[in-house]
Amino acid sequence: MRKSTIFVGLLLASTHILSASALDFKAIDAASTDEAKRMAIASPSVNLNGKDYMIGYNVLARTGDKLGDGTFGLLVDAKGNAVVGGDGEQEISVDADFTTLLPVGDKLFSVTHFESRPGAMYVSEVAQNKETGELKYISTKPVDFSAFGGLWVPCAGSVTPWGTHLGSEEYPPNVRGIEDAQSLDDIDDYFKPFARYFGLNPDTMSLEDFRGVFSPYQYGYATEITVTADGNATAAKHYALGRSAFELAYVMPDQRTVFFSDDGTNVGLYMFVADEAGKLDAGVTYAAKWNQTSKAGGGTANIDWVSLDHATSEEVKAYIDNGTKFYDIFDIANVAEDGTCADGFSPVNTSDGAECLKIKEGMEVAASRLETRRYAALKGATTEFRKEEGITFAPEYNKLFVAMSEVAKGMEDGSKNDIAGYNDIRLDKNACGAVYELDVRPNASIGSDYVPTNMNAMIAGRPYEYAEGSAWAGNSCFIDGISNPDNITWIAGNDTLIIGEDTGSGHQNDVIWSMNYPTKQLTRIFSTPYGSETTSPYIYTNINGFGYLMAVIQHPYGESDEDKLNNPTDAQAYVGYVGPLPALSE
Amino acid sequence: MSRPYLGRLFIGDREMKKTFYKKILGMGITILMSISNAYGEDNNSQDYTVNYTDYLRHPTAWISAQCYTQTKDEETGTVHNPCYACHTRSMAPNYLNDSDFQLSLDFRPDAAINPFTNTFEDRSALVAQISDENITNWVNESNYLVDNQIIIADKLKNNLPQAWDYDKNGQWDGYMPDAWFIFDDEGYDIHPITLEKTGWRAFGYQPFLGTFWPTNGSTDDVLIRLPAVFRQNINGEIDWDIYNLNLLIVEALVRQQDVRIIPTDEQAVNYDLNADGKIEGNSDKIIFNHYPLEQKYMQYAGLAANKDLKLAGGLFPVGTEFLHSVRYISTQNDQIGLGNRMKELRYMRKGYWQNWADLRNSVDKEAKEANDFPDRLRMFHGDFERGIANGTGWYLQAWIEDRDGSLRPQNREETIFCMGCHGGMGVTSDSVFSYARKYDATDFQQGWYHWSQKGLVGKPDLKNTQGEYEYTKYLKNNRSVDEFRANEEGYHKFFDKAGNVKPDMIDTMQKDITVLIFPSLERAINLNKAWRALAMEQDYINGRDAVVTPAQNVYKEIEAETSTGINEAIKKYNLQAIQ
Repeated sequence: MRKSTIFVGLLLASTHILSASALDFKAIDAASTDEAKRMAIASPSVNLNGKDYMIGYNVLARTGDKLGDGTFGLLVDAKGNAVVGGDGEQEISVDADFTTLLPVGDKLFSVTHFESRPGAMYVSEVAQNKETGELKYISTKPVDFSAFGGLWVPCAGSVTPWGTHLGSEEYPPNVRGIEDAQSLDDIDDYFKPFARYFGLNPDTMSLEDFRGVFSPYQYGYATEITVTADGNATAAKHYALGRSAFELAYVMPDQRTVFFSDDGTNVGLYMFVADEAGKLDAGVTYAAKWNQTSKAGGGTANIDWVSLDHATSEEVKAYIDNGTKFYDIFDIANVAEDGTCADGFSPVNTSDGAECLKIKEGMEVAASRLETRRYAALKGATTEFRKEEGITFAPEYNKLFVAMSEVAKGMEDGSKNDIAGYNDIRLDKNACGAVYELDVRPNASIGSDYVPTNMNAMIAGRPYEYAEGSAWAGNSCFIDGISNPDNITWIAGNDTLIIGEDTGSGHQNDVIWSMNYPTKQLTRIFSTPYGSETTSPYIYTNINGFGYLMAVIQHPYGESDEDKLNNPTDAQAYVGYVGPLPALSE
Repeated sequence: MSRPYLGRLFIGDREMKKTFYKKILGMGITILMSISNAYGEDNNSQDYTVNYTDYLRHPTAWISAQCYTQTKDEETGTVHNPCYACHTRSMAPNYLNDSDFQLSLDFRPDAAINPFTNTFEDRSALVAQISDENITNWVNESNYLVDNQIIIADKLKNNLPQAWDYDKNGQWDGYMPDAWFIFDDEGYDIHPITLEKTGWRAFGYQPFLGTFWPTNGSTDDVLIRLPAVFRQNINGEIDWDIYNLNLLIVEALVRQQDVRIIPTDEQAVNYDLNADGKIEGNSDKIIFNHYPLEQKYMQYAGLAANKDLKLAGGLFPVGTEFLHSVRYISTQNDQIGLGNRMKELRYMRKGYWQNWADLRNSVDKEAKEANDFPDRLRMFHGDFERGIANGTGWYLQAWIEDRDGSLRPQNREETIFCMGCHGGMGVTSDSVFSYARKYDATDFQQGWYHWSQKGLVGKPDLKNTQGEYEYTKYLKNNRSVDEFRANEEGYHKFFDKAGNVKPDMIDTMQKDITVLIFPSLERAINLNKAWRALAMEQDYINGRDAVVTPAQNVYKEIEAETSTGINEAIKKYNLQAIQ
């Protein structure tokens, strides 16, 4: 801990040196007054190559808005009908998340995630003012996932090099738990609302009703949305990558190598190398092995990649379609108190806890892609990462960045999350999190030019205790540093890494930071209202001459006294952008 | 010894120049002196200033002291389950199914050390120094209404201390206490001189399990008020029959059960009480018949029916208010009853509508947050002056006994204390305990009365929706009469030496619950003294249970995921509306 503190302290003390391309957001202060704490505040201007541009946070839509014929965020079932609660009211998701901008021909579209159960995606047509760059949603409609049994909790995402929306399904159910349930009470309440996708009422359904419609191996994959010029959006699930608590998948410039992060406790970090560029339905998945070389400053390790073998989406889909169960894939045994297993079983510790597992004969592919995390652990990969979040790539430096919301639990040395595990990661806890950087290099045996060889904490937050009288009392991470980094985006050609936070008491107001990579200088560019979350910042460097930093605010209540008194949980999210920025690339 | 303190305290009061305010202090001084003398010199340098900022000394202030109970008796191996009374698999639209708390004390790291150190303080010496006479006089004297003036309202209106003015705009912006606690023969609160109804209405209810039994510390009462539109007939005139009907319709909605009423002519109230599709004849019930998914809808009565007001099963309408006074225990005339002096005055108002989906989302969001960041703490919006939002649509604020015996606003931390129970548990109906426990039309004044009009003596144990006797079930599962298992008097009355509940006492209790829930006069007096000693310290943030001797069965520190020893969660069912 002390080392990490010194590390960050040095970074913060470093002098501000203008970056190569001189992209400079005007810094905003940390919210200290009651008023500021209740506001969304963006940098008022950005300076690019000596010229100032006025910017701000612009709202594209609030959930529940009527846009054309559509209601933004209205949950729909498999038949396309509105999801209705037991009180007869339609449900509008308040959990808008990752939102892309997708130029298609001379049109502009936007796809938005709604992290609900059932999940939803909406595709909206966007009008761009050619003079000012201002964006406006003009219509919206849900994306149909009925061919895939619906969509599970889409979280973050990215844009593929070929211009499609790459989404995710986060925290799919532990299938073992669902199969073990003796009564509906044994099923996690979090999963039950999904039954509404199939027209069931979760308040009155039986366990048999639920199991009859809910097939959990259908969820937990990378999704891809292709929008055509006529505004039609076609969905796909790329089963070939594997199944995990997908935060997001990120495709490298070779259009073949894909990294995906796994959210939660005791999770893995994965790489997929597709057989063919631009096609994510066949390839080899790998999981990272952390070989620690130092615990200083959030840790350093060499990374090996453990092969989880080749698979195609078709193969995996066949397993899903034929109703493969957890117990068709694995035999299980009890874990002894010392974390060992009976002969023939292997101990693992993943998000689903300590287990003794044995793969049934011939079920390797099913295990690899339906139970990717468990399989990775069985093959010796590291499943000790804690809340892996954003991924982005800096081609200028051949660096991949991965945000780790916390350095905690399985990442600590010998924590209880290491029982039956490898204890590969042996770090001191840092509840404020860190962003890691990974050097990527060509690797002939893997057949990719983008294979990370190492991983080390590039910048870490700093646990801090402010005294009762301090303006920052109640913040448990240093106010001028990062706290629980979430999504990140690299502004290519500008030496800038954007870091968004998803933090609780770390920072009372979530912040988006602009970090000058060579100097590690942090500039606070966005502050969201107390209690709200900023999700999925994502940069578009040039859309018809303008740049945009997309950012969604969930739970933006309390923006004014009036709002607060009317409804502090009037939680309709804002989808919007910081900008318009000048074009940041050719 | 106590002079420096008294001097400081009374300077402010002199400025008030209000006769009623002097009067309340008149007798108080003697008792205060006797109590503060008990503190000795060292404590007089102590700072009793209440912190009215947003800062929380204990960031998990909403987790109550009872949650730290050590449920397994290490000596005997006996397992006690008081937990199920609050933490249970609930009924929609309360989506908070927290029965896991019965099985494991899975606290966030910030809550690992029990912040309620008052639970472990020995106040027996202090209690011994307060005479029975002094405390009895103290309890009998109202700190709320004196000379037909509501003391706290007067202070908020005319002498608002700067510290209480959170937003520093020179005025009190929160609820201004306006109930007189004077009731007519229908339970309506009335103005002492004009006799006009304020809209507040008292109701009898079966006291909630455990902590809220007088034998465990306090007496209390509850008043409800619906917005003015619920008191108007379709012509917009004030109509108390319509109000009465609306209160009962709301009861049926909140309980999601039929409720009994006195036989009522449907045409007179223009309402299809028995849900037979016709407005004719008499009905002795309001049938709960609100099933939107089956296209069955209820409505409010009178003018409220014509307004576009939100209505749903399990929920109160927007604007509903509750006033809950927590009081010392009266021992006047050698009877246990409601004390005149308030320890606390708690207020909640439903500020905005949360439909079933909103409520489910809040719970799911919190579940996800707990899963993503198990160490993260709940966050609360609002301030102590205007109320703090509990997340289900309600704003809560409260007043508590000051050192001088008057009421003062609770600060943020003291108010957040309310949130663990009102909005944070599976057992409540729309974050409220009492209304779904209301007595029905066969009771005294058709169930509409204040405890000052009729007490609890003779009330039977009631059945839950499964037909189980509620208090009996609690005794059998808790194997004690309180959470801390500190109430020895109650314990020995109901349990034999082997720790088994005495069948004859159960029989007696099933006919008259006060044999269980009322303390002896001696215990009542001691409990009153214990609270008074606590009030002298003003450190309610360290716990506000009237504890005389240190609690033994309470964890000072809890290791992560400590098992409670309870193997199977018990479900707490709602009471049958019609017994």
